[in-house]
Amino acid sequence: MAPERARGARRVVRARRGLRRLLATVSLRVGVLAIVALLLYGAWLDLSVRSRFEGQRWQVPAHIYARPLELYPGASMSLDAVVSELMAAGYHASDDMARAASYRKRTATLEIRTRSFRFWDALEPARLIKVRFQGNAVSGIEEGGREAALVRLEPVLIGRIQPGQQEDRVLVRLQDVPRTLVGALIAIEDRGFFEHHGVSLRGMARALLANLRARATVQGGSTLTQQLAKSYFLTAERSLWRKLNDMAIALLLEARYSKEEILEAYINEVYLGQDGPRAIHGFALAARHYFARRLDELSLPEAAMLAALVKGPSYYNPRRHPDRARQRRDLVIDQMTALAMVEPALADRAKAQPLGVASSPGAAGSDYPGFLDLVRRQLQAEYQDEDLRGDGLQVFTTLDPGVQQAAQEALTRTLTRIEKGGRHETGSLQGAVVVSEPQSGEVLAVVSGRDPRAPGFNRALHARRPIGSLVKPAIYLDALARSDRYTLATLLDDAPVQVPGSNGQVWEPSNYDGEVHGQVALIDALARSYNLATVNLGLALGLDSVRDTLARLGVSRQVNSYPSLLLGAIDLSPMEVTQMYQTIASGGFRQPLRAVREVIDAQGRSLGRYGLSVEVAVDPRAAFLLVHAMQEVIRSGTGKAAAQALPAGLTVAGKTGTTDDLRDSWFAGFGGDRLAVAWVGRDDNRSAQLTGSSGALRVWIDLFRRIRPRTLAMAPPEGIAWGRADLARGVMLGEGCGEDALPRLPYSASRAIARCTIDSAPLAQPLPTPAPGTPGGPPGERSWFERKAQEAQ
Amino acid sequence: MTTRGLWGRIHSLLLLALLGGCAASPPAPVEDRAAGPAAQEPHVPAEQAAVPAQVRTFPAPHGSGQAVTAPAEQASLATAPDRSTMPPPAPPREPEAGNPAVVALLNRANQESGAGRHDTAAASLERAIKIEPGNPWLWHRLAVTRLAQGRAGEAASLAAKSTALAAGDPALQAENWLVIARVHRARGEEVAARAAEQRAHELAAKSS
Repeated sequence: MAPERARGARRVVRARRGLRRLLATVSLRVGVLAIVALLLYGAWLDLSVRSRFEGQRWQVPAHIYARPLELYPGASMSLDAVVSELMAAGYHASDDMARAASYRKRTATLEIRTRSFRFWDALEPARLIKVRFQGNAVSGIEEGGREAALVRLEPVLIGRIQPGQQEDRVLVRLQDVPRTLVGALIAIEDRGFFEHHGVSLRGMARALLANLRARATVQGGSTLTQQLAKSYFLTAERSLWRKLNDMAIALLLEARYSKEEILEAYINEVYLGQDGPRAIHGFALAARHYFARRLDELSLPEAAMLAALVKGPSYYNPRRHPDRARQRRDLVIDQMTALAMVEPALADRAKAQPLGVASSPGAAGSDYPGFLDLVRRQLQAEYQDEDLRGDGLQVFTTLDPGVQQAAQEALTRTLTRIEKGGRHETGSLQGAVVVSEPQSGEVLAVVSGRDPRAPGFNRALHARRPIGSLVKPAIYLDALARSDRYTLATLLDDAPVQVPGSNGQVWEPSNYDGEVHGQVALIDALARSYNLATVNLGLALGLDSVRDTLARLGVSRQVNSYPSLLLGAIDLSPMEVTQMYQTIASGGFRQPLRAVREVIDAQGRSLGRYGLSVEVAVDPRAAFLLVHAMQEVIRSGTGKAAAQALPAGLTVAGKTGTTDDLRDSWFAGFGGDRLAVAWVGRDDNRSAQLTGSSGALRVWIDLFRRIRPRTLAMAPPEGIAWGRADLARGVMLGEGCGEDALPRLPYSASRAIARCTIDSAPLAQPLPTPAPGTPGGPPGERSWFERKAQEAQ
Repeated sequence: MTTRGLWGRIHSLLLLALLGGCAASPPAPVEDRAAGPAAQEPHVPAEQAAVPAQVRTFPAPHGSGQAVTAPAEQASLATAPDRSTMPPPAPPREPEAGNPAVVALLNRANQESGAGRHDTAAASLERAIKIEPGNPWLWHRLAVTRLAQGRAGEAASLAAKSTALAAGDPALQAENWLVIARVHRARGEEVAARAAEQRAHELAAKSS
């Protein structure tokens, strides 16, 4: 038995030996393979970590700002208007005004502790000022016991141009992060941060113990580095493999980068909440989102709240779950106290404070969709799309938040009021408003429809409608530029006219009231918007000449040559109409309407400045006379409702426009520093049952009552004289002539009419159509303006 | 590690970052011309800005009295490439600005111009114009600054705008004609330049 057994044992041993040899070979190969695979994987991880860390790490959206508010003695700005602008800029009402971006309101004074702000041309330092008001204007500004001449406030952030992903960020450098915040973060999330090499066994053990004790996950054992690793390759997966992967990346990060670099990356990367589709990344944006504060302004409890959010931004959302949030905030403060970062007394005070979350998350961008459309359009004309994405550009625009709000309210409320009148179905009317500044060409407000938050169709920019009588000033301007033939007093023929069309049809316009008024002075024909007088005048001037004048005024669209042009059969958007009236309101100088002043990159370098520029468009004397006639529209003509509704002493000028079947209701008008164009109609282009006076003018009046523009006090240019006018006979008398009862009107002094008799009064005869652009004055007396104006075409 | 040590390390970490140890984002350039309170800026008298001598000397009266510019030259006004070699003429007298904010901005513009920073000077003037849009002096100053920026076409139009606002002020009108003359001269339009100077001369004579 024994040898048998021995043999058997030998066989077993041999078999075992073979198996072992086989196993050894296989495992060696597998091992080598595994090591190679691991190395390869490690190399790949390293590569992707490096590219992520060192490449374009963050996409920062372009930030778009409103125009900065300039405060100076005499500025037409009420205390309440300044306060609402401060609130829009995220300033806080505060009694002690201990921190920047706070204000204190008194009866007629406003104290402001401003933030410093870097404009493209200069750094405005932080200041403590006391602004005094008298009525609706600033009467003085005191700073440190002295009178300050001018303070430029930080502008309101009105929107962002998002990069590809819906991520938002405000980048911050580590040196600008307050110590309290870093302390809070390390105390609650990773107190071994300075010791570990990416992974903390002690931290994990501590977390495990704490979780076992509490029988729930109360602590995560992840280091800050692991959390950063996790955010780099964001998936919802929570497997062991994933965990190991994060550890590997964390080890790689620590091997390659310093603690400062890792911490800075973390502070800018960490996800801290959601604002609709917008993800809030990084502490700087979170400070703005939750507290309307810059990082360096955060108090201890605020910093602790942000650190508390890291564990679960939605679970601890202080807006939705204040109790939970507060509990965790206090836990952070306790941890800091335990680590001797905070004195116990200070900690108690901090914990006694409310969360202090800003009331609105300041969802910038949603308030001004109409204006931002215009900004985007102007930027797209200048920049490639990729230039605007991900570079942290700052765009300074011309938006005036107060004017924008007033314009929106004027439109919304007036349309509702009109519909309540009973003749309109509720919600059937639509409208648009554009407001600009006549002397600078800056667009102050764009209202794209009744509902301020509906993005959709931007009527101000894209709704092209016939402009009706809004075209008339161009025709009268054309006439007044021929100062040898036309004055404001010249009689026009308001008589029926028939114009044969090309297809055998005959165009036979009529007046709105159906009457024929006979001989009417030019100024009255415009003020009352007589169609027949205008058509006769336009035909005498020539269609080409009228088209030419329209082009000079800034109508860049190709305009048809049909006689119906004379009654406004051209389709323009409210924005295009604003451009046309801008030239009139600025006294004959054309300026491209601008919504963007300045674009600077993340480093503060200027990429583009869009400064003030003017072009001579028409004879300033003719423009002055036209503006005078447009004041008569308000005084006695189709716009006289404005004269009744606006404060006495506020001079404005304007023109109504109405189209066939009352489809479109227009008004364009201006004071000294504000030009506004309003359109009211229906989206389906059916009759709105409104004239210019009964629709758009009411919107315009409402707006001008709210924004209180300066009075129109256009300086008469050189070559303008004043005299009495005999409107019944169509005669301008020279200076010092005529009875006092006759109205005083301006006229172009180049016209040789300085006479006191009216017998030889020259009546305007229908003229043969002159060549387009022929200037009015005698050849030797053509002014520089006339030649410039002509050459500009 | 002691807790005291942790706080200290955070402190030194931030200090380290301040000293340039971080690589995340390049620091924004810090401008040395941080604008202090406008009212406290030193007042720069107009004479202090560089005044090229030839600007103030009017040419001998040009007898012909013909049209101011030839049409061919006119055509080039708006489109020809601008030259920036022209030194700006300085304002010969204090502008009439009532508002202290406008005075402060004018002073700042003077300083910026004096330092050759015409872009920022123009920006200050534009801010002033927004406060007093009807002040022809501000438009004139902007025209002069545009010349210095090498944007002659805009300078001529701005001078025209100033003139349109300056009825009854032949002295300022004369200054504006000098700007127009400089625009012409920079383009080699000598006849037109002289005619503009002639016009300036007549206006200046009228004002004295």
